[in-house]
Amino acid sequence: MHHLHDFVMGIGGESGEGIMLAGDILCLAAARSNIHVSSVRVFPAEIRGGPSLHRTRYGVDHVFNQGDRYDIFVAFSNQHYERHRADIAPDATVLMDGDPATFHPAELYPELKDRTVYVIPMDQIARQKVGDPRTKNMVGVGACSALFNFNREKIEQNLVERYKRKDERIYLNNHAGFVAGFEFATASLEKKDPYRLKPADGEGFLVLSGNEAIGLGALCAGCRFYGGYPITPASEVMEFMAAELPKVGGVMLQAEDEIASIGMVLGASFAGFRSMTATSGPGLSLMAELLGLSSMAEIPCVVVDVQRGGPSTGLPTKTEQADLNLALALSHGDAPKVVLAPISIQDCFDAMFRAFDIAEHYQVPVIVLTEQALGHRRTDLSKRILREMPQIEVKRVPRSFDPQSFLRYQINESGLSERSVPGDPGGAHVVTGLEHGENAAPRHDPENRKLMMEKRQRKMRDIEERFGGVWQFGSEKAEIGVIGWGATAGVVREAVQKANAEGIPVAAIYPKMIYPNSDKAIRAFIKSHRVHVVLEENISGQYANLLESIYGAELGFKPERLNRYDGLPFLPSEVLETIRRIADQHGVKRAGNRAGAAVGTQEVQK
Amino acid sequence: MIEVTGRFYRAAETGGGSPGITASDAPKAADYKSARKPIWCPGCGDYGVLNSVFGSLAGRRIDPDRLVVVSGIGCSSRMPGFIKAYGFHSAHGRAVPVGIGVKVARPELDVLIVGGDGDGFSIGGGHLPHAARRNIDVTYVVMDNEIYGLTKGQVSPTSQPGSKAKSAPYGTVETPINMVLQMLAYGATYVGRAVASNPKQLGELIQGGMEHKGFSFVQVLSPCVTFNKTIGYEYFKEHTAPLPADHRSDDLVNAMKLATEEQMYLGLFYKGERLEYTEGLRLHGRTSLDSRINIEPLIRQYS
Repeated sequence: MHHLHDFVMGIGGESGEGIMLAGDILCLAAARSNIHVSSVRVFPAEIRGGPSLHRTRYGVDHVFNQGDRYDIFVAFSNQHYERHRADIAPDATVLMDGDPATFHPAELYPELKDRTVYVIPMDQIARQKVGDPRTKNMVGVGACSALFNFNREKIEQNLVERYKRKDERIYLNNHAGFVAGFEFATASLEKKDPYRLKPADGEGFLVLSGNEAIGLGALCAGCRFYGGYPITPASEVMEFMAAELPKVGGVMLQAEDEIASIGMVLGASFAGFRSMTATSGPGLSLMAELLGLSSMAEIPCVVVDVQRGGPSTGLPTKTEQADLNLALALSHGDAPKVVLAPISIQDCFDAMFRAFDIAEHYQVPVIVLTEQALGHRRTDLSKRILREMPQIEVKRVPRSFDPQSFLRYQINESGLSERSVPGDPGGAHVVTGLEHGENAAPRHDPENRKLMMEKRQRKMRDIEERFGGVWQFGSEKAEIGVIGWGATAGVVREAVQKANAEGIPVAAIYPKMIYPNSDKAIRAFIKSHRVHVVLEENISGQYANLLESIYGAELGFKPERLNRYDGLPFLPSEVLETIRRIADQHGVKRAGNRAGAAVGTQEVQK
Repeated sequence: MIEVTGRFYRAAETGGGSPGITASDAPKAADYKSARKPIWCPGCGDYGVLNSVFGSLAGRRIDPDRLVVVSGIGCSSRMPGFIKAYGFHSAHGRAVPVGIGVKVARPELDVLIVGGDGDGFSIGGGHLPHAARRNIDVTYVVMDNEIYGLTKGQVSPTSQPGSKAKSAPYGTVETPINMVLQMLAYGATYVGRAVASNPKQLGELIQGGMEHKGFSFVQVLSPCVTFNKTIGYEYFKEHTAPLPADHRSDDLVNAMKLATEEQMYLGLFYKGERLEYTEGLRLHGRTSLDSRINIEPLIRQYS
């Protein structure tokens, strides 16, 4: 039989049935076998009850997104099959709970006639064979292990780690459920589907969510204070920091609200700590005033916004990219700031190093925009990211500056002034959100105001120079240029790859930093492509509007726009379809049959 | 610029007053006076408060280089600029969270938070119960003039019922906040009240607050001579009295009872012992500051 090693697997059931656990165990077993994964858990909107869904894409090569339709779907009951049947691929394999002797799914669901269906008495085995109905999920895991080559030893080892020391009986039941499912599939099911994982050599991968990668990155980048307030979908960053910061002398303080949390961040930063908070749209809205203070008083801070559907309470558990305008405005007044938008989970980790370096060196607020679809998605990362990361020295006072000539806000060519922190002898000064002179004392005169506004703004020039840049995918001489930002990169990258393989000359670009604008690379990209598409998850086209305001008049930049704003991330197929349509509309010639060879796929960092 | 001469108390190092300092070496109020002149109106109660702060800093032998004075926005919030120390003139209502951030990061620093009644109990009121229940070791001095002075005369959360101001031309119908009662109820472990015109008592209260290991609150009745002329020094003289001699400062219930009486009592209402926040963090596993991340356990946890 011809085997397929890349597939999307969904597991659907009632919350409380252990759907997420089953999915996580399979996902981890794959990652430990050096198989790439990309995984999302979809919780019901209600606190208890309702449907749960675990979705993982497995691949021999890197998987950059959650994929399209399900190639394998495990339904813990008929209603969960019904809920997702529209998203199941025509050639998919379906596992259903039921008695194989009496339950014939194709009679109920005609579309299953053409699909491979395995009926597994998951509930019955759990009740009768294991004697514990709660092990139904483990029976499912066992069957999947046997059918699709999820490594049996690695799963059993994982069960030992999870349960053995905590509760021997729970361990034994779960293990018995797993074995019963495995043995049922081995003995009673004839393998008819093509899906089979292909383990590779190596030490196994880390599996991290975007939010965990943010926390890990921040920790490694020297963050030692986190002022937090719970908010979906960002709370996992706070929870990570709560566990890790005390071990390195840091503190996670759960504040009374987001205004307090950013206030504490500024206090801790003033005291010399690399400090941050993470929130979502409603929290960022509340922080606006103090982020202006950070900019005005030149006190570093890093704020991560895991965007969700807005405005107001909006869609707390769904994704959107609609806080860009808020981040760009940041506060009242003209407040220099930096906006980053990581494009992947790996980049969530990497971006935190950039964020803290920029914040500390340039004494500005740095906003890191991720989104629910990135924060809650899990993917594999190499263990090397931790073993080979840059060593950040967490600096202690006193610092070096000349107390005789120290001026906290000295005006100079770079706009960067020396900074002292409490405890530095001779460095005493009083920072203020009022306009101030070089010695930090409030000043209202127009001459000083002008000089200070320009001093703070000057820092942006150097930041753009040093930290600006883009990621670029696709063929260099492409006619179509796709521009996006943030987490959509994983989907666009795959769509561009597939379009290139079809001979459509298309490339995509993602800014490493949204503000200050990475002008050089984006200008060059716009100039070198005839047809432009700006793609983002919001209704008004916030990034497209920004780029048009910069390049519209000068370069005649008037891009096609692809916007999704239903709370769900783009699918690779939908972006590919748009690229095809735009190619046709604009008369873009395809590169003939030498698909992929004529137009290579590459990733460029500029 | 201040020279560190060993004259100052170092909380982290000595745990008490520095030994071997003669009286002539002891810090004086002038050691804490910055070059900037206060911008307050002549006759403002805040001058007296500033002098009391100088006195208590000297009395406590606070090292100016290890002192952070934090404030919000308002007339009294300009105070950090007049003190020769590190200072943070933050945003309206946010002095307390900013001060907490400083103290939590660096428990070895002394943190004094100052501000007015509007800043602390109106816009910033939501932070106070949490600061108090955390019992974090900062001292919060609120200068209460029962009016918004910087914005030129609107009613404040402590304005008397019926008092007229630009924003209440027919007299306010709101009940004023009883700061002392509120802070006692919130769980502050050190609560006192004084008038700006009695620098000795005020200085002692502030110094006692800085010595107290926990969240300390001092309400200062500090008249605004420009926008709230009816609530002046004379008014406070008539309406205040020392706390009854038989009141014990560890008696929370009696402190609350006294705080509700018509007469505004002056003195230390309450001083109690409870685990201090940064000490609690240490007991719950916070280690000393470290650059190195122990990565192997993290790798195991996420793989």
